[in-house]
Amino acid sequence: MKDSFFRSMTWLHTWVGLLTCWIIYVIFFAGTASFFRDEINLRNQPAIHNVQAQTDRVAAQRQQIIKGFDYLNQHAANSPSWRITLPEERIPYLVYGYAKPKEPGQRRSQFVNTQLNPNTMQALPPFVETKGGNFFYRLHYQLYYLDAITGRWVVCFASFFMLLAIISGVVIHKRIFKDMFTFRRNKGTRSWLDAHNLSSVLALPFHLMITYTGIITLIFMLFPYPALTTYDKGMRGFFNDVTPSNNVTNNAQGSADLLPINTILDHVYTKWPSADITRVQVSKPNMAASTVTVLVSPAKALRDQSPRLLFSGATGKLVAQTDDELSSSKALYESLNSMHTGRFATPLLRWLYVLGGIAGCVMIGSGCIMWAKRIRERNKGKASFGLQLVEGLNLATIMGLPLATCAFFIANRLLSPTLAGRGEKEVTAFFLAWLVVALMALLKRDRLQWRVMAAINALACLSVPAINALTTQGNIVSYLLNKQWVLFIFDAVFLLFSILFLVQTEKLRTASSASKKTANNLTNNKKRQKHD
Amino acid sequence: MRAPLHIAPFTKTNLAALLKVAQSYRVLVFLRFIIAIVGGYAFTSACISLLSVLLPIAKQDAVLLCVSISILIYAAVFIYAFSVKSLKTAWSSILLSTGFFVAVLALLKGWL
Repeated sequence: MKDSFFRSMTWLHTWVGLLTCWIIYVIFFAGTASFFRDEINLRNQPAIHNVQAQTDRVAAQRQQIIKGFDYLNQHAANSPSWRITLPEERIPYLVYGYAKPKEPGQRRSQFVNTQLNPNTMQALPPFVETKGGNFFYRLHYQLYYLDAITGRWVVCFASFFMLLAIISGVVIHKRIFKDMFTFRRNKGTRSWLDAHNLSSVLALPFHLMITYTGIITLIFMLFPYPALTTYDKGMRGFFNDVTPSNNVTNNAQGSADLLPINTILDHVYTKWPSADITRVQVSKPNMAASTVTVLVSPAKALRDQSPRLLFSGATGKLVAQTDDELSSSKALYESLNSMHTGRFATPLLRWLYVLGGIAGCVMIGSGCIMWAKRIRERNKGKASFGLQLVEGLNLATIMGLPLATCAFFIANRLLSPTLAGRGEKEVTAFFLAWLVVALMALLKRDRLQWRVMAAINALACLSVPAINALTTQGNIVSYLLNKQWVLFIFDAVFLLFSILFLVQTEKLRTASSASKKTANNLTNNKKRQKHD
Repeated sequence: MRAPLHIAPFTKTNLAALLKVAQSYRVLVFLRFIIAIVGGYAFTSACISLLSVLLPIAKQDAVLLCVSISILIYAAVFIYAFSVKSLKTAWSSILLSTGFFVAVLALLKGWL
């Protein structure tokens, strides 16, 4: 398009990046939070704060499943389906659930869940309704207030543009190694460029991997055509071929008692002696056509789909199972998916994922701020509509998301536990706080406004652990003393961000007085307004 | 401000002005984005569909492999569309090759 490949790519990098940076910022922000989905779920649900992790978690599973079948047989022998969800490393409680018969017009039947403390097998105090980490998870790949499919298409194309920005960014980058060690402080746009380069280059493999694999998670929506041309029955034919356990049809009529679950578990443990079972699902319990599906954790394998065995509930015969060995194409596809979700990650690796995500946020944020600064310098303070729009979106996105997140967590603690539609109200708090920032950005976008927003964010981050201490029984000190690490780290992270926002407030104060000084010096020579 | 061309009747001078507008930077950038996004999408779809039919491995493996590399192809075509100097080359090469893939696919699948 331009005279040289290099210049074309520079142009492409700027425009592709600028067009999508805000939506990509939201996706990266929510995605980073989603690595702590289970931890956020735990934090937002005070009923499970005091559940101790089991010392013999895997060994206790057989008894938990047997008790679950007894319980469900007593309470819901004729329910359309049962689900026993066992505790996992990051999820400390046990759930026995059964479906209520589907009401007309319902797409999925409603589940009645009983949550138990696996150590005592006593029912836990009633759960409050909360969106928890699932909010960030869904926001990450289908946005909100949008039809889910539309949201996914938007996310898909935004991610694709991000991938193009990364590739063109690498092409236009001349000194990739040197920049890893370059950061020039307090040098105006130069410093922003350094911050942009540093955050991009240091975590480059992560950025490439997470963006590419992110699109792969939605690939059958984006490119269904190979499956459509290869299979006569289209997508359904393809998915039935990939996961045979989806395609089990048992037409046996009449009722038949469920086989004792112990027999089925014997099969499972013979096949996988150290199986870490995550879930047991029963469809049509106590019918001749019943099936029992046992899902086990893929553990450290790069496999996104849980290995599973499917039995006939009446005869105990193994009906279907996932592949023991994946073919190389399947292994490729599964590993791309599981690298994105990072479910296999140990705590250290999980934190590396999060640091990569934060580096991504810095990369995107510094990129869009740098563009605005450069144009403003070039135009000598005169702001076109486009520049004002970019500056407004920068402020609204970068300072608005943290405040919205704080509002979400504060709302979780302040809303009455019995309030109907409570989860939805948490989300409303999130978007209301964001709207306020956006409106403020509409009024003014100067340095003072950034400073005000930084101060508000510092206060908001501080109030998350403070309000938690006032409204629940624990606080950051008791978490430390009781070794409740998840809750302690959650509060500590908010305190850390509060300090960072304070530093930012302070920086913007000194910087604004400094730039005023230089501006005054300049006015002696020529009448020039300070550029910020 | 340009005169509202669509109201004026078609004359030779008008046509020249219209062509001039069509050459303007914004229109060129827009056309470049269209061929990159839509053309790239069509090219990738046709290419991986054909590949999944041709690959001599199990059907499900062929599909999974093809979708796994689809984004690589799409990104390459996108960058190609922006790096080629002439817009005409970008359009013709991408559309012709897409047409070729679709034609071969149609022959193989007996759609014609």
